[in-house]
Amino acid sequence: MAIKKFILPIVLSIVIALSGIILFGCGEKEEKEKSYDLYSSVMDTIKQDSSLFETKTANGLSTQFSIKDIGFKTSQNSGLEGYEYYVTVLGAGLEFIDDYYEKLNTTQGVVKNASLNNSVRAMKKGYENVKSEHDKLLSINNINDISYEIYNAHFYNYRISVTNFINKVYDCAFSLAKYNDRYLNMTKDVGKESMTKEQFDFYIDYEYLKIYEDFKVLLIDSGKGADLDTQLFAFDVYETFNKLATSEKTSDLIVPPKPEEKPDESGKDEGEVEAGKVADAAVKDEVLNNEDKDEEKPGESENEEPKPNPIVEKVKSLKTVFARFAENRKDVRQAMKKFSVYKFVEVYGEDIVAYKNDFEDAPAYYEKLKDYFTNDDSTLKLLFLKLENEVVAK
Amino acid sequence: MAKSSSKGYSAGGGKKWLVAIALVVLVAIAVVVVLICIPPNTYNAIQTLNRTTNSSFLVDSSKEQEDFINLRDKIEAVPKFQAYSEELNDIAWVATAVDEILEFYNDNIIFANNNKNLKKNFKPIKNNLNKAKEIQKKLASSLSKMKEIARESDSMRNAIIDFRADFIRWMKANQKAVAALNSAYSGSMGNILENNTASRLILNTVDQMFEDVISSFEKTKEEDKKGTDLKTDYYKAELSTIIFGRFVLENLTETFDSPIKYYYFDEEIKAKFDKFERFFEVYKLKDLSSVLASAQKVGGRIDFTKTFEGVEDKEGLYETVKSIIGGNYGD
Repeated sequence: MAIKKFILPIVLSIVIALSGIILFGCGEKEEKEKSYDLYSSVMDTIKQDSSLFETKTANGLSTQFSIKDIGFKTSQNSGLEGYEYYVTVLGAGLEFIDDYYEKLNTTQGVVKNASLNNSVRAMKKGYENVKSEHDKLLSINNINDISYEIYNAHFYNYRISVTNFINKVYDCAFSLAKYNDRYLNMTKDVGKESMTKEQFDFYIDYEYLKIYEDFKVLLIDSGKGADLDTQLFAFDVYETFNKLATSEKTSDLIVPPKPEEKPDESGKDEGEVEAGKVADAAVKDEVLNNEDKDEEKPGESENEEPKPNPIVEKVKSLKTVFARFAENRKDVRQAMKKFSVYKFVEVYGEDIVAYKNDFEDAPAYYEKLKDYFTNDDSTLKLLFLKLENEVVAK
Repeated sequence: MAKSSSKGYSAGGGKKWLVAIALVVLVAIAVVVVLICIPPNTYNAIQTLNRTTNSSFLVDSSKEQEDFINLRDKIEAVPKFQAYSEELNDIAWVATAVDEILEFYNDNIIFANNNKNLKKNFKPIKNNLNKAKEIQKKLASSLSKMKEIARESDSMRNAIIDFRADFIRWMKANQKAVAALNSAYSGSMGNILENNTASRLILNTVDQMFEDVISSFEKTKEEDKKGTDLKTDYYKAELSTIIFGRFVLENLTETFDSPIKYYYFDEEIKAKFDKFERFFEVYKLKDLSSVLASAQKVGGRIDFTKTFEGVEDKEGLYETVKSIIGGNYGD
């Protein structure tokens, strides 16, 4: 039949060709640069750029990456106002990268990961754009009697470049976090007896990074990075979180390693050591004899289950909360995607009924955002309370 | 003239039939695939729920509220009908509770995963909410008409009896919708913080209390029929409506710290609801219906008087459950 003879072979050829293209054509090209070198170079440049960054505390976050001049003028001789949250969101992302890119230098073998490298290259471009716009802003500001409206027009360009830079920083930070998690197994033992302090710290910092991204999405994506006067940005929890994120984590949640104690026989003479060994043997015999007797007792189980380690159980419980919190986050991100905070404020004047007339689901998404960010018992507040009680060193 | 061979013509005709049958089979397969693969529009159920919560009976319509208050004031002024005034107050209380329940689901179901479970439940949600909406129109119309009826007349009493019957139908339609919403919530909200042991127990308890309220109003209906004398003790739903309304207020609204929200953040709340869960196992109960049915006023407070023989309850599980569902409330 015509179908069998002609059409099937053609279809088969197309399928094979497409598969080939997908497998070979779109695969990752070999990465030549070492990821650590790239990260190190970009972060060193940023750290040394004192014209753009300074060490400052903003909204409770202490950071060496506090970006300068991120504010607009309200009058000719006024100082700069607004956008302090840019400082915090950007600072938090860069601090995370700064804390964890060193891990790329400590593994066995050299890391040359395309995803990591591409993300840091993009971040570098973003930084260069910011630098360029900042230089223009400074040169404008140096002109005598320049009107504040012109200054603000240039500030707008600077702000847009910082917005883009923030997105690149977070892409880079998450690339690094995922690499540390998947390939360096940084969270593999969290919730187990073998967990180390480094793993626990990374696990919590990774969760903090995701929360910072929640703020970023609300303020900069849904809010378009505008300086909006809205209840949705009235985070009495924001400062608490920033302080939390920079606080020392308690070591109480780290399971102490069980030392294998050998008797110290260095100061003893031979006779003492031999006597000790005989005594040990006698104790061992006694223990064995008692075990035999114990076996004769009715009703006792031979193998009692070991009692759960309370520290491990506590960390497991924390992990459960964070895992469920991640599910809540999906709903919140969905709400932020569909509900434009910018529109809500600038177009509808925070009138949810008016927004609802154009978008029927607006109230449900609005409730979700309030429930997550700003209500008295918001999800974030409850989580921070738990973290303050259980994770922060007292 | 020799006849031309008919062999080629017959073979060509048979081929056409084969092609026609093959086409029909392909179309049938395509139709079946389309029917199976195109998901039902569950968003319609969510939209229906949204519209319902925006126009809840006696909550969102100022005209309904005004007509209802007129009726209640009218009845209160008639000595022989005064017994109805408590029932009317409780009807308003129940309507508010139903609205609160639907608001809870309305705030959450939009985030439900569009899985098999949601698809299974979307029709009962949508159909029953639409049914309740139709009955609500009738209730609203009755309230309006009762303004014209002479307040001391038998016609007024009959109108109230009919209003009650329609209200029971309204509750039943909402109850079915709420049961489907409960199933949708627990099976489609995923592993969020607010889908937990407390939410499951609270929403199941709401379902059972709803059933209890309907049952009480049905008993009231039996006690108050047209053409009979109005008894002073005809009304059987006082306790069930108080218990229902308070439980919804405390557990599903923002008036109090919701255990659903706090379950993973408050050890005391978690322990309490874990005990609630163990209660069913230890007392070998499927649900709370027998406990709810034992509600009584004891010394001015509501208590659940059901006793259980031969059950060893070292943890005080029953007392915990009673405290959660509203035992020991003052009147």
